Amino acid sequence: MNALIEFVQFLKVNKKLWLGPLIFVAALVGLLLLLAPGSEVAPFTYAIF
Amino acid sequence: MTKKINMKLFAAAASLASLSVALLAAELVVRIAAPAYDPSTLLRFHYDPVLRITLGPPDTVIRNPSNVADGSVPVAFNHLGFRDSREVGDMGPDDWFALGDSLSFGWGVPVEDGVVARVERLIGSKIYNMSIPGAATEWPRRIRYAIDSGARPRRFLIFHSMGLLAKREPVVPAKTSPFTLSEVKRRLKTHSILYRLIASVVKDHPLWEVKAAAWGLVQAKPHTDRRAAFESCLRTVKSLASTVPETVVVMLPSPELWRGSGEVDELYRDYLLSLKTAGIETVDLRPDFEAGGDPIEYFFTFKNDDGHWNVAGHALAAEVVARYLLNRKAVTGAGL
Repeated sequence: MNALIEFVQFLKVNKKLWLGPLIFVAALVGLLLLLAPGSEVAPFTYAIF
Repeated sequence: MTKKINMKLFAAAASLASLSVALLAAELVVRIAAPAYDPSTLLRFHYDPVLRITLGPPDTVIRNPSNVADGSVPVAFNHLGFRDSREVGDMGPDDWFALGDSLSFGWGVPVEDGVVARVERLIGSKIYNMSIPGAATEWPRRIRYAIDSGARPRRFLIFHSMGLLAKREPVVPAKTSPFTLSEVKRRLKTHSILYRLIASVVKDHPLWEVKAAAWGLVQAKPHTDRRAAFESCLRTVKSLASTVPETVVVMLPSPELWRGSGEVDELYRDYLLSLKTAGIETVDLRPDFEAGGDPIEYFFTFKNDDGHWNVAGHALAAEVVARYLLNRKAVTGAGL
């Protein structure tokens, strides 16, 4: 959680808040592809975690 | 002051542009990574408000990404909106008229692998398949629609799923402005792959679904009074059986029976008993599905609560039904 707050602050300080939606949507899509029923990506997450 | 406002406006515009680009990129990425969710290839049925029956898109062949993770199947609809390619007007006096929902429609499997086509091959008699997802109370209107198109049904083969005991006819929505929330949702549902992916993930996790429904993001699953639906289904089947005495009802067990729902187990037994008490010929598939040890292996597992058969499920069901019909002919001398 702290890392997330720090990251938002980093964007704020560097005036890059407009990147927020891009990062949020990219993270959301990644998560959805992992959680989707019948996901073809899910089996590969074992190797990562 | 003006400069500050301009800066804020610029930041808002940049964020909006960034969000738009991100959503467009996400649509593209999901289309490549998870094509099964593409709404343009989604097999969609419509409830005809005039005929008051559910039909497929007439004269259309569509690839059904289906509920199988290992590919999609082509689904062809005839000019009436049914999956059977033959002309119902050619129906002979000895041919069967099959009724049912998505299971006997052959959801997720090629038409030749579906239970109806398999039974037809095994018994060597024609079975016109008028199965399509929809409530059992639509059946008399579906039959009327087929009769108006030239069908002369004299024998009914009813594939009765447990899902029908929880199914109600849809309410036809009144025409609304294109800017209402429901209209926006409808458009997203039919055009956005990202929306479909989000909806599928939420619906696949019961707890999230409840939360999302509480926040008004998704429609809560309507609570169906299964007992009331039980009575209306039974009335429909009894009425059909009284009109066409040669009616055989095949009871299709739901995976809920083995996933620990005592209520469904009781309903299943009661329904079967009610049909038998009413003197209606029944075929119970449950014992054969349980004989192999794990009945769930006959169902798709793409979604957690999928109640549709895989190819093995269709094959087993067809074998049991064909055996019954062949024995029936041997014992009673009835035609096939």
